[in-house]
Amino acid sequence: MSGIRLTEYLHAIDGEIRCSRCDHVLGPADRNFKLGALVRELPLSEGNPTLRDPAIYTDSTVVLRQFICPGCGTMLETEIAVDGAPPQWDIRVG
Amino acid sequence: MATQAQPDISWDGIDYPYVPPAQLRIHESLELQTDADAHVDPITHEVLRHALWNVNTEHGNTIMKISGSPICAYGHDFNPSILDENGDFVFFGPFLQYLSAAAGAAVKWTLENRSENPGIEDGDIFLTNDPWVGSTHQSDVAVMAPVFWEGKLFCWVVNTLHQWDLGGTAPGGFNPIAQDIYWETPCIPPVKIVERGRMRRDIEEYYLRSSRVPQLVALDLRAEITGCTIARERIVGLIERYGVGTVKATMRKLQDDSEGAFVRRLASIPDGTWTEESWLEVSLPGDRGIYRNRVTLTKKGDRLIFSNEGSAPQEGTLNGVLAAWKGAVVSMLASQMLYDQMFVIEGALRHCDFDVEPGLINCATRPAAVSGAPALILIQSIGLGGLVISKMLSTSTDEAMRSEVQSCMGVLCYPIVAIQGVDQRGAGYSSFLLDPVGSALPALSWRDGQDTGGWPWDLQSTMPNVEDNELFYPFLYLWRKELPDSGGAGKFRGGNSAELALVPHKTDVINLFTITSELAVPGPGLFGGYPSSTNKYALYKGAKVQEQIAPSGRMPTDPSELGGEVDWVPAKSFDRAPTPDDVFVCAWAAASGYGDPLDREPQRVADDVAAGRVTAAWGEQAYGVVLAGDGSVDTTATKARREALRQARLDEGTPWDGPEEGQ
Repeated sequence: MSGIRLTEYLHAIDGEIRCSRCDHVLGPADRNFKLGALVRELPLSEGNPTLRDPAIYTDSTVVLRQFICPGCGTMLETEIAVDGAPPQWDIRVG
Repeated sequence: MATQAQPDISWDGIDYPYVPPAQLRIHESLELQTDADAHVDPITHEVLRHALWNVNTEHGNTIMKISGSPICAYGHDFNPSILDENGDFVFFGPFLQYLSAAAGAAVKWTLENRSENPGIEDGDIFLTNDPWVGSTHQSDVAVMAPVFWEGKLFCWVVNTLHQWDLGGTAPGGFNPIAQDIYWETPCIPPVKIVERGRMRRDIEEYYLRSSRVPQLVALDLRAEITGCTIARERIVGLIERYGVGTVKATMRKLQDDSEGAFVRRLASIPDGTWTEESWLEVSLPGDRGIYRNRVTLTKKGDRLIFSNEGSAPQEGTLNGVLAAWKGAVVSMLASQMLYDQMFVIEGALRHCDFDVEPGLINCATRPAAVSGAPALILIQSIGLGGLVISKMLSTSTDEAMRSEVQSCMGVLCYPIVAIQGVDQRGAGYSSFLLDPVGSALPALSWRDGQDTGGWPWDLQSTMPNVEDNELFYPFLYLWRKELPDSGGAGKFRGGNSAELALVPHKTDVINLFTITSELAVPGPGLFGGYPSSTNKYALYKGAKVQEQIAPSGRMPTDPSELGGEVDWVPAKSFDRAPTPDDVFVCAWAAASGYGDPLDREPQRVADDVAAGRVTAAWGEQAYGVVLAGDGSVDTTATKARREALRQARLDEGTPWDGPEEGQ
């Protein structure tokens, strides 16, 4: 791998963000890579079997959101999404 | 350390938090000792460096020896520091680090606002718990002693210690129903508690008057004052032995060396911006809302800029002050980027800016309620700070920096269980449980998190012994145990957390308050890791375990074995009152996972299952590891299972078709 290492599974090279495992291009480096990933939303208990239904405590919708490399199926990132908020643009280099 | 603050706001510690100016306005009557030798030989420097470290450590140990508080003895909810004559840090203390950043602001405020009236003189000691000046919340009392040499102010020795109870409507000081600061423990701006070596009795009586346990608070006050006094004497002793210019030069070199290390590490990182967020739940009892807490870190050249942009407006009991927020993120800088600099945080602070918007939950303005901050916004911001720093360090070309990348820590919000009543000896008590300091360490980029290993920013805290708690308070434990599967799954697993169950004993009732968050929203995983478990409160009304135990002699060891009606106690409550017929259960959140769980070495999963850290069912569901009947890895079945899980991701995942952030 060359370019800038971003995460365990991502790097930026030649103005693009790519999967470090299969080299799949997830989009331009100045855009949220999550928009180029596959997205799967699951109940929280699918992410940790000890978790209770958030509805016990809140009227908001709370789910586990997974971002998956379309090329190799690697779990690139996860986040906790509340009330359908857009994916966090959490990594910007340059 | 600069704070980029709007110029039309008065950042003076009155309504808005105090932000020190670049040049402090100190009255001319106070002379500062600024002379430092141009050169200190390396051996003398090392001797003095460690001597000053030992002064700070002895300062902390003195507090522990004198204080009668389990909050101090087990929770180590205190921190000593040495600051130079301007209130810049030399040593930051090896205890609860976030306290010191606030105390540094208190020293600078005192220099600006007390140097003329009543004056700062040799033998004086000041005290404050004012969050807008320099305390994380009102229960954290900073005691600050100037150290003089030949009539000039040489440096400061300071400590902050969490107090049992300083009054207000909530026993113990964490108020779950406070709508503003006037419902809470009163704020005391810096006052001179010791004047030229003599305790001010009038100030002490004022300080103790509102407390429910004034004798214990008086003891803790003496612990703090004695800690400062010992540290001051030791520093004066070093000056007498080595010379004032040599000791000052050593302090300057400590700060400069720390800065050099920090800048070198920053040079290995590209410019960029990293963000992380989590949520606080329930602003007041009855509320079911959740509120965003967001930390953004921008690295630009040799500067780091922390921002609270995108966080929710201040609300109910959820708020914290700027000093608490700064202390939070600075704690993780010390832990992840200056671990070899003996907590000389000043080097990093010289290159940090805080671009804050006031009026948000992490930069509250008066009269917002802030007593719950350490359990809520403060500790959550430590975790978020650690995550944005980790994302930044992941881009470093320095392998040592990348090895500090870590997932979300356990106990992202502290599950306060405040208890009050009459104990088994007929005496009043007011405190909170410290078991959750046995938090869970995050997964690193190269190893699993330690189960119930504490926090990555707190090197000293320990869980109290069950037997000690049963001695202090009128309850018995049914169990306290680690929880399998609680740590987030990942290539490296987050540390597991634990759970306790209590039965009131030799008392009619325990008045119980709760303050926390992270009941509904878990800590996020990192780089494909899975989320942590959450905090939990459950009151089993009418469980009558005595009747369950009597015929069999067997204690229940799990909630599934308890009878009675389950009350899922919310994040903020003040009206629960368990009796000996009831059982109160509290679990605390574990750490999240790092990396894709399908990348975990299968043998690690087998080892976890054998040790009871992970269940076989979760090992198969999350990690795709299938075990044979003897507990060994079924390699063929595991390969097939993992391929199936990966294919399911590809089949079920779809491109995002909603709005983008910022639109």
